[in-house]
Amino acid sequence: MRINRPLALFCISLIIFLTACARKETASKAAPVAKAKVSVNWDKVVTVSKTAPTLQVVVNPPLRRGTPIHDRVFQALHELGADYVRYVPWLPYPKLGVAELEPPSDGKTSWDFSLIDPMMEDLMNATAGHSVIINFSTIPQWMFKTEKPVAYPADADQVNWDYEKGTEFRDASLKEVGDYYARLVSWYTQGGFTDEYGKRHESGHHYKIDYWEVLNEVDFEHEMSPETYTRVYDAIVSSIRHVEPQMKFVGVALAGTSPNIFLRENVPAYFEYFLNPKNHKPGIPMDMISYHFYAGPTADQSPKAQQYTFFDQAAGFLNSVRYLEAIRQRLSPKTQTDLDELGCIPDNDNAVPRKPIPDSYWNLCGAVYGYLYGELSRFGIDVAGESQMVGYPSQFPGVSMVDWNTGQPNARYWVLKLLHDNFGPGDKLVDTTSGIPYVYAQGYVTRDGRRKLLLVNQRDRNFDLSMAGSSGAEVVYVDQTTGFQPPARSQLNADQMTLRGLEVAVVTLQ
Amino acid sequence: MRIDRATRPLALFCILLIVFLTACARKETASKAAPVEKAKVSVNWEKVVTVSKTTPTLQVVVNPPLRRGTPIHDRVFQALHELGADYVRYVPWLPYPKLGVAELEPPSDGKTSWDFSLIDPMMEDLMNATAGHSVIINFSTIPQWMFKTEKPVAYPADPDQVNWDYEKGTEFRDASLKEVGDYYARLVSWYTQGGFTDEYGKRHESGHHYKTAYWEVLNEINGEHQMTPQTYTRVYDAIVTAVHRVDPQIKFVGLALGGTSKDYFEYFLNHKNHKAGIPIEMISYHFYAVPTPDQTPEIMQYTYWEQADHFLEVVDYIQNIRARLSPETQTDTDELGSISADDLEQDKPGHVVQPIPNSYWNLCGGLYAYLYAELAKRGIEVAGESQLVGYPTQFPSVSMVDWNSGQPNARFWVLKLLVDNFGPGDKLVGTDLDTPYVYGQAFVTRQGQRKLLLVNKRDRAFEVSTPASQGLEVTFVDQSTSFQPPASAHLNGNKLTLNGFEVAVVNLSK
Repeated sequence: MRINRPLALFCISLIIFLTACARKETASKAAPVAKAKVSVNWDKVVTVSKTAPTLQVVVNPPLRRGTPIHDRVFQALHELGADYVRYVPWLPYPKLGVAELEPPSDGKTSWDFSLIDPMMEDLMNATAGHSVIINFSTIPQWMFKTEKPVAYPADADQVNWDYEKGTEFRDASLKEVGDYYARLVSWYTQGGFTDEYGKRHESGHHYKIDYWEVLNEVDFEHEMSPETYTRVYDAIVSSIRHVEPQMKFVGVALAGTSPNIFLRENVPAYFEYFLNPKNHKPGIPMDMISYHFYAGPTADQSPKAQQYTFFDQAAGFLNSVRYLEAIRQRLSPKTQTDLDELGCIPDNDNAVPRKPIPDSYWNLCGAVYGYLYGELSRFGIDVAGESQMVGYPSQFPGVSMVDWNTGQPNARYWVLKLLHDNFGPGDKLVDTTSGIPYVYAQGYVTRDGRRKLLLVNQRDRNFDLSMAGSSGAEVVYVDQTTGFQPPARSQLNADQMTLRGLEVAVVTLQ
Repeated sequence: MRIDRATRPLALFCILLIVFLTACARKETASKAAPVEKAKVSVNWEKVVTVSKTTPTLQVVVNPPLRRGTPIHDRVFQALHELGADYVRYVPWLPYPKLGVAELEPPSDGKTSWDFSLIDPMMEDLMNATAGHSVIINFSTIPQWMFKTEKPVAYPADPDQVNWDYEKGTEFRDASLKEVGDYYARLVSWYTQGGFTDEYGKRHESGHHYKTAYWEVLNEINGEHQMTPQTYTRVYDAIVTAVHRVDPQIKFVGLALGGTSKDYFEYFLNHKNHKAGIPIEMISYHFYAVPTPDQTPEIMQYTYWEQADHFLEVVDYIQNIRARLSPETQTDTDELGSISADDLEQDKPGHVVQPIPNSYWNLCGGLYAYLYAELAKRGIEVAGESQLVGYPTQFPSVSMVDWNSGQPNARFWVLKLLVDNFGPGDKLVGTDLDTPYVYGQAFVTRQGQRKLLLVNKRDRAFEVSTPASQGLEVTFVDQSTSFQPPASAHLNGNKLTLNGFEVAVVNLSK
C-alpha cells in the first residue's frame, strides 16, 4: 500500500493540533474526576508581589565548553532571561571553583583562572542584561588549619566531596580570606589584581556583578557557628568593598531550613544573630539573606507517597519562612530575602549506579516550585531561586533542570519559564480560593494589568475546575504530556478546564 | 475427641504455658515470622544532650459520655486515675453549653441564672480522679450573652445535644471587661473558696475547696470569637486580675492557641503589652496532624511525621520568641493529637462516621511518643495528649478510649507507658539511629536507670540492634496489644523486633 505522505503528515498534524487545542475539555471525558470551583475576587488585592522567579547554576563538568550539552544549556539559560541568577563554583570540583589552590610561598603564587574563566564568561554572556548573584563558595582549603594538607584531584572533572576540611582559619585575623575574595572580585570587575607578592595579574574582565553571596551552607561547610560566620562575612565584605564599593552582598545561604536538617540545628538562633546589626562591624551592609529548601523523601516513599510528602514539606517550610520574615523585619527590615535553592533531592541521589528517575518526578518538583513561588510572592520574598540548572549522576541528578545527556530542559525548567514569562515583582495578588485542598490557585493582576491565574495540581490525578469568566481564556501549561518540551497552549471554550496530574498552568483571562 | 476430667487441668496448664511462653518470646519469634529490615541504635550514655523538664499528660474535654451513669463513665475515670498524670487539662468546651457555662442567662431584675448542677458532678469526678496531682482548669466558654450579637444566641435545652453554634460575636457588651473578669472570679471562687456572692449580693455556697494549680484563660482564641492578639491580651489581663483577687495562689496559662500563628506569641509574651504585675506563667498551643481526605493509612504513615517535624520546627521559633521576651514563662503543648479528615465533616447534616482502623490509634500513639521526646529536647514543660474521650459527633479520631466501652486505646497506653517511665529530671543522652524509620531516644532517668524509648514510624517490622543484653525487659504498645495495657517481654539478646507502629521502652538497667 502506498501512502500519500504529505497528506498523511497534514492529517497527523491536524489531529495533534486539534487534540492539543481541545485537551482541556476532552480530558474530562476520559475518566470521572473530582470537581472544584476556583473563586477569584479580582478587586481584592492581598499584596503586591516582590518576587522574581529565577534559578541557580552550580558549576560542574557538563557545563564546560565542548560537552554535548554545553550549548543547549546556556541557550536555555539565555532564553529564560531571569534576573538574580545565582552562580556557584562549588566544592566538588576544586579546580573549577578555587582560583588559588596552593598557598603563596617563596615569592610564588598559584593563581589560575584558566579553568574557571570560560564558564564564568559563558554565564555572564548568557545572563547579559540581567542581574547575577556570584558565589565562589569554596575557600582555598589551605587557609584552614588541618592535621595534614588536603589534596584535590588532578583531573578537573573528577568529583571530590572531601575538599573542605577544618573549622579554624590559619589566619585568625581573617585578612587572608578577605584578601582572597577581594582579588577574585578584582579579577572579574576591575580587570585584574595585584597578588600577595605585588605582581599584577591582568584579566581584562570588567563584569558588572550586582551581588556577591558570601559562602554557601555555612552551617555545614566548615561547620561555622553564627558567630564565626558573621565574623567571616564582615571580613570578606570589608575587603571586597575596598575593590568594588558598589557591590551588594547576600549572607547566610543556610542549609538548615530544609526539612530534617532543621531539627538538628537551632536555625532561628542563626538568623537572630546574623541579622542583628549589633553583631556586625559598623557600616557592614546586609543587603540580602538567603536560605534553602529541598523536599526530601525517605527511601521507602514511592512516587505515589511523594505527591503528599513533598507538598507537606513545602507547607512546613513556608511556616518557617513566616517566622524568619518576622525575625528579619524586627532586626533588619531593609534586608531582602533570596530563597536561592528551592528543589527536591531524592534519597541517595548521588548513588552510582542510580535508580532511574520517573518523568513524573520532574513534574512533581516543578509543581512544588510553582506552589512555593505563589506562596512566597504572598509573603513578600524578593527572590525565589530554583535549584539547579544542571545536575547529573554523581552530582545530584534529582536536582537537575535539564536532561544531563541532551541538555534539553525538563519540566522543572519549563515551570520556571512559565512563571518567569507570566509573573514577577509588581504583580498584584488577589483573593483566591481553589475550593479543593489538592489544587493550589493564586490570581494575579500583572504589572501590565492582565488577569492571570496560577494553578498547581498537587496530586497525580486530574481535577475538573470551574472558574467564572474563564471561557475564552488562554491556558499555558506544563504537564506530563509536555514533559521535556516547552509549555503548551490551549484555549478554554467554557468556564471550566481539566487540570491534569501534577500540572502547572497559567490561565490568562480575556 | 473427648478430653477426660483428669487431663483437663493438665491441658489448661499446657495452654497457659504456651500462651505465657509465646508472650515472653514475642520479641524473638516475631523476627522469625518474616524477613524484616534492620536498624541499629547507638547510645552515648556520657553525652547528656539536655535534662528533661517535660511531663507527659493529657486533656479531658467535657462531653456527655463523661457524665455519671453512662456506660463508660466509671472505666474512663478509672483510667484517668490510674494514669496518675500531673498537669491534667480539663476543658468544659463550647459544644455543650449546659455542661460548661455556669451562668447561661444574663442577670436581670435581681435574678441570676447561676447553675452548677450539671457542671459540678463531672468536675468533682475529675478532681477525685486526679487527686494528688496538679490540674489545669479551663472553663473556656464565655457566657454568650456577654458578647454583642444581632439577636440572642440560643443553646439546646438538652445538655447532651451537640451544638457548634454557641459562640458568636467578637465584641464584649461590657467593653471594660469587668463583666467577664467577674464571671471567672466567681467561677474560681465556687471551686476554690466554697462559693461566691453573685451580681445582686446573694451568696451561693458550693462547699468546694479544690486546689486548682493552674487556670488556663480561654481556648483557641484565634478561632473562638476570633480574638486578635491585642484583644486576647486585654481579656487575659482582665480575667487574671479578677481571679487573682479570689485566689492569689493560682497560676495562669495563656493563649491555648489553635495552631502557631507567630503574631500571638510576639504580642502576648511581651510584658509591655500587659498591665503591670500580670503574670505570664505558662503559655500553651496545639498541634494536630491532619491528613487530607485522600490520604490512606499507607500514606498517613509518611505525612504524619512530616507534619510533626514541621510543628517541632515552629516550636524552635516559639521557644526563641519566648526566651527573648519572657524567659521565665513555661510552655504546655496541651493538645497533641491527630484529627481525621472525616472528623472535619462531622458538623455536616447526615454525616456518617467512617470506621477507624485500629492501626490508626497506634500511629497516633507513636506520633505522641515521638513528640514527647523531641519536646523534651526542646525544654518544653508539658506535653499533653488530646483528648481522653472523643466520640461520633465530637472528634472520635482524637479519642484515647473506645467510646462504646471506655476501654483505653493505644494512644492512652502509649501515654501510660511514658508516664510510667519518663518525666522531668531525666537526662536525655546522645542517641543515633541508622535508619529514618525508627526513632530512638535514650534517657538516664531521675532514678538513675538507663532506658531507651523506641518508636517505629512505619507500619512494618524492624529488627533493631540495641545496647541491651540478654534478659532485659522491654515494655511495649503495638497492634497486638491494641486496646490492652502495654505488654512486657524479656530480650533474648541485644536485638528486638519492633513491630509496625510499635512504641517500646527498653529498661537497660535491669
